[in-house]
Parts: sequence; C-alpha cells; structure tokens
Amino acid sequence: MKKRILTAAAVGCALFLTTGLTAMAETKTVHMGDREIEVEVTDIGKSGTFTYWSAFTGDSATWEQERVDAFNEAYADLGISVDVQYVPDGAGINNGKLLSAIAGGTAPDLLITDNPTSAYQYAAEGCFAPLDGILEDIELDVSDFYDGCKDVMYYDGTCYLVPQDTNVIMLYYRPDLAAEAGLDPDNPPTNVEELDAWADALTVQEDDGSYSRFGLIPWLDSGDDAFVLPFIFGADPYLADEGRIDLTSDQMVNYMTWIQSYAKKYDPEKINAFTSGLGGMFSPDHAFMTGKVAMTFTGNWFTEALRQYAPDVEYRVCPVPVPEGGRVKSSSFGCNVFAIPEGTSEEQAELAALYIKFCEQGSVNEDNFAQWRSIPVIDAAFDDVSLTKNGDEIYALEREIAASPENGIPALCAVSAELSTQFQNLRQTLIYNTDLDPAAELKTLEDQMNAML
Amino acid sequence: MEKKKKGFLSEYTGSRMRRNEARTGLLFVLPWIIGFLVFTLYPIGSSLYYSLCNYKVVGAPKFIGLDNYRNLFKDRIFIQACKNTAYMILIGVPVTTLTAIAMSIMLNNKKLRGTSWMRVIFFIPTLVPTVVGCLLWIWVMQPESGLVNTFLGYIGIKGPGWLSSPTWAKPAFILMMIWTCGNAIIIYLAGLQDISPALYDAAEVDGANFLQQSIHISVPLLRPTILYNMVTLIIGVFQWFTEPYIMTEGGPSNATMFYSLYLYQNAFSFFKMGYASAQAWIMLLVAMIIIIVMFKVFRFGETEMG
Repeated sequence: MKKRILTAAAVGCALFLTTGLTAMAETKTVHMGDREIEVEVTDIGKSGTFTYWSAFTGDSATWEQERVDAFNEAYADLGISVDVQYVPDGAGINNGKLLSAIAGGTAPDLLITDNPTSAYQYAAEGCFAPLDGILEDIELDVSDFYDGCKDVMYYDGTCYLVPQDTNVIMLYYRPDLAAEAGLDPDNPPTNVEELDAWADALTVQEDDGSYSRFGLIPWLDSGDDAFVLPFIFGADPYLADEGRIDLTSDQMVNYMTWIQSYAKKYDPEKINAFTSGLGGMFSPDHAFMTGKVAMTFTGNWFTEALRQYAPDVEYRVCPVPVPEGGRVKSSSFGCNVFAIPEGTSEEQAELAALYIKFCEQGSVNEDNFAQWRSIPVIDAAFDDVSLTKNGDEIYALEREIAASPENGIPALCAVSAELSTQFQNLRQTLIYNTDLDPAAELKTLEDQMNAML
Repeated sequence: MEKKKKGFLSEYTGSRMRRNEARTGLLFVLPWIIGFLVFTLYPIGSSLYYSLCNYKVVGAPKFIGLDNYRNLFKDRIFIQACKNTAYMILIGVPVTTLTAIAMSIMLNNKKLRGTSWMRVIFFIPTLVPTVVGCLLWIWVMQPESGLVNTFLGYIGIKGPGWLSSPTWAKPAFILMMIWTCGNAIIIYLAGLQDISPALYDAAEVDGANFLQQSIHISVPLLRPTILYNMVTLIIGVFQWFTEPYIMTEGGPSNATMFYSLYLYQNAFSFFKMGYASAQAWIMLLVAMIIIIVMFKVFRFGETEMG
C-alpha cells in the first residue's frame, strides 16, 4: 500500500512538474474595440507586468491600444498585463532614444518598430535578446513564416526579431488618366520599357515648359525607400554568403541609370516641386490623389489612404514592372517587427513573448488586415482574413505577390541603417547631378561601406 | 610681519565664523558643482576619449587612436556638411546681422511712427516654437502655393522649389534665419539706446544725414553688440539641427546636411558615437578659432572713443 502511495505521489509530482513547465493554452472571448474576438491565452505559470514601446501613432495607435486592452483582459486571470508607451519614430529606433535607453538600462521589455532595417542593425550590434528559446517555451511556431520574412528574423542563425505582419509594394495607376492618354488600363505595364512608355504618355508638359502632370516619379513614395526598387529590379545589395555589400551588380547599376534617365528627361527640381512641402501619403494633397502623378510605387496601405482621402479617385494596382533579370511579381517585404531588448530578465522576456504570440493571432490582426490590407506572415492565414472571404481582388493580388519565393528584405547587415541612408544620399546626388557616372559612384560607396563592415 | 596666506579660501581662514561662512557657501554651490562635474565636465572628458575609440554605445569602447579624425576627412558627406555650414556662416550670418542692424537702426529712429508696434511684430517670430516655425516655413516655401513664390509671382518672378532645390535650399534657411532675428534686434536696440544723443546732434549740426549718422556713429559704436550677436549666431549655426531635421532631413542631395545634423546621424542612427565625438571636437576647435579671430577683428575690449 505504502509503495502504491509513493508511486502515485511520484507520478503526481512528475505530472505537476511537466504541466508546470509546459505552456497551457485555452481559448477566451475578449473585447477588442467594439468587437468580441476569440483569442488563445497561454499559461506559462508566471505573472507580472511588462513594459512595451509601440512605434504606432495616429489611427494605428488607437488600434494598438485596443490590442493592448484585449491582451490585458485576456490575461487578467493569470495576473499578466502590459504597460504600453507610444514612442514615435520607430519606437525610438530612428532617433537614438532606444539606443540611449538600452545603454542606460532603462529599455522596455518589448518593442515593435516599423523600421526592420534599423532593427536588424540593432540585433547585429547585440542590442536585442535572442528569441529562439523563449519562442519555444511559449510554443510560438515561426517555421511557417514566409521565407522572405525570415531574412529579418535571423542574424547569424539566431532569431532576434518577429514580424507582426508584412506589406508588399505594387504599382498604383490611374485608369482614367491612362484611358485619356490613349493607353489600355486593362493591360498595365509589365516591364520597364512599357513602364517608361506609359510614364511618357501620361506626362503632360505645358507650353511654357512646365509640367502639369508626371506619368511617374520613380523616387516618390516607396520609390524613395533605399532598396525597395533596386531589390525588385533584381539587385542584392548585401551578399550574406560572402559577407559583403554589392552595389555594383548589373541590376543595381541599371536601376540607378534608369533613375538618372528620369532626372535627365525631366528637371528634378521641377519634379520635386510637385512633391515637396505638402501632400504626404495620408493627405488629400498627395500627387496621385490630385492627378499630378498618374502612377506611383507604394504599399498596400495606400488603398486605405485612397479610401479615406480620395474616395472618388479611380485607381488600380499591378505588380511592379521589372527589367530583364528582375524579380517578377515579387516585392520586398516591409515588416513591423517585435524585439526584446538585451538586458530584459528571462521572466519579463517570457511575459513579453506572450504578447508577441497574442498579436500573431488572426483574430487580433483582422482589423489590421482588413483596414490596412497588411499581409499575414503565413500564407495559410490569408484564408481567415475577411478580405479573402469577401473575394477582394486587390488582396488576392497581394497574396499572389506575397507568395513569391523571391521576396525578401534587402540589405540586412551590421551597417544596414547607414547603408540605407548613404544609398539614398547617393541616389539624390545622381538625380541632381546627371553628369555623374552611376557605376563609379556606386563603386565608391560600395568600397566605403565594405570597409566599414 | 607674517605673510598673508594666499589661495583658495585664504580670506576665510581668519576666524571660525569666516570658515563656517565658507563651508555654508560651498554647500550652497555644491549641487551646481556636482551637476557641472557629472553632467558637463565628465561628458566632455568622455567624448574626448570616445573620439579616440571605436565606440557604439552598446559595448565597451575600443581605442583606435586618431583613426576617427583621419576617416572624417575622407568622408564626402562630412566635407559636404562642413561646406554647408561654412556657407551659412559666411553668407547667412552676415546677411542676418546686416538685416538685424538695419532693422534696429530703423526702429530706433524717433521720427518714424509706429516703431513700438513694429518692434513687437519683429519679436513675435522668436516666440513661435521651433517645430511650429518649421512647419510654417514648409508651407511658406511651398513651390506652387507658398507665400514666397506667390509674392514673387506678383512681380513677375517664377520662384524656385525652395526646399527641393539644392541651389535654393540654403538661401531658404537664411530667409528663415532672418525671420527669427527678433532677439538680435532687441539687443541691437538696447545697444543703440546706449549711444549718446549728443553725438547724433553734433553730426546733424555738421550736416550728416540719417544714413551717414548710422554708418559713422551707430554701427561703429554697436561694435561690442555686433560681436556678441555674431558669436552667438555662429555658435547657433554650428549647432543648427532642428530646422534641417524637420524641414529637409539634410536633402536635397545633402544640400542642407549641416554639421550637427550629420553628427547626430552618426551618433544615434549609425551607432558611431566615437566618430561623432571626433566630429564634435573638430566643431569645438573650429568654432573657437573663428571666435578668436572675430575677437581680434572686432578689437574686443577696446572702446571706439579711445
């Protein structure tokens, strides 16, 4: 009898220990804004409050607050809560606030930023905690994430960043203006030659030499990002296998020559006069909305901007046209990424990771996907998004582009932030100095950045 | 006869009461001394050391000697930032100073009516927060519907895309600098009011008109005030950050990449705190040299009246 009791006690203890060490999940219904959603709650046997810096502002901050409230409601029984602070400029990643906080030991336990390139550099500099073990503990499986997203997640084989969602870049065009210019809006450009022909046809020059409309400004909107277009045009600014920066590939030189051709064709000062000062993306004065520009490269979020600020403007989207050797029907991914700063205690890090897991759920992201047309990081998750269920054509195209195996996040390396800035500077220099040789200038920058690397 | 003790606290060694006074006085100034040592002297010393290191804020600094200083002079953007800052010092500062002096002389003219209102009008822009001022100027400089180009349009001039043009971006910032020179005008006015009216009366008797009086009496006697305002303006140009950061982010084509903006980028965006520290020390040295030269040129300490 005594032996049986001892055996039962041993089994009981083993079961207790096993269940105590393993995360247990249950489903709960909570409020998110004015909706009721079902979420999975994971019990890791720990409780406490963790701090969280969110990069979101404006409408996105409202949505973030709803998400935080939903998390706090879901985890109230387990004694876990998140204390959110809204820190502009990429959760302080773009303005040195995060760097100072990490150096001073006052960094948050968790952050989300919309600047994955700089976040990657932070990871490379050892500012973020490795996440593999923590993700395993809370049973968040990231193996099905898009390969393109994994570019930003792993540095040197270790996971430091977890994308919440992603975005794709497309070509937005005005079918009304295309028809007016004698183009077929049902057959948008598919390669760079056709794109240039459309741009020329859609450009309207007045008798006094000034322009009243440009077909395309290649460096407007996402075209202004450092490596979005070069990547889609086939360039790989950083060769991870060789550990070096490559700015002199044929694709990169061709891209820069193409950019410069627009500066030669139209006066860059006249072009930029269209876009300077007023008319940001979320403004009714945006050049595409006012008809001053007929085509623009930008991300899925622009659909919402058009809905809000120019609901009467007719528009369509298509994949970014590429030259020979480019990445057809593909995109660079733009992610919002979570990270846990180095120095966060193991217990706090696990609590923070629960928030990451919470945010990866489709029910939590539904508003984000439906409103901003952001993209899940897993293809299968598209099926649960209301836009997919409602047969939204643009979202279907986004899914098709997101599924391309050629997608990725370019130029992720230990000097990615500086590389991006210097590359943008160089592009501007070449735009304003059309006599400069792109190949030679790119070579100079490549040497400089490789020396730094 | 016993020699009087000299040096620190020598006056306070006489009596117990004097010593107590000294101790109390020291206690009162101690918070400032501590603050100075911790928040000023220590960072200055640290930055000098970091300027000789490869220091990325996270992680320990690694001593590399003068490499940061050498690399700076190979850095094309640094050279561009130096040129842009020099442009503002050589053109922006004199233009702003001349405008402020001209305005203050005009406002000091007692024959002119409504000068008190005009003083208020010139001073108001200095009360506008910098960020608000920047946003306002983005609108004012807007190429198509901005105030400046609209005004130029009335007189038949097609204005440039101020902030989007590498040629016109810096002049646009000079215009903004002039707009905020109300503080300097107030100081010049104070200086002008110190000048004896007898000098103007004598000049008038000799037949000097307003312009001649201004050039030969007002400006020479304003010399110490001009020196003060120019020195503070030059220091301000070296530290100029908020306006280009908000309005142009250093563009177009690095045309408004000023010294402090590039220093900030290196320190807080590129993890190159050592490199940025070297930049800061060069800035200090250059600013000191310019100011010493100005003190010589303006014959600081000498009076015009001999």
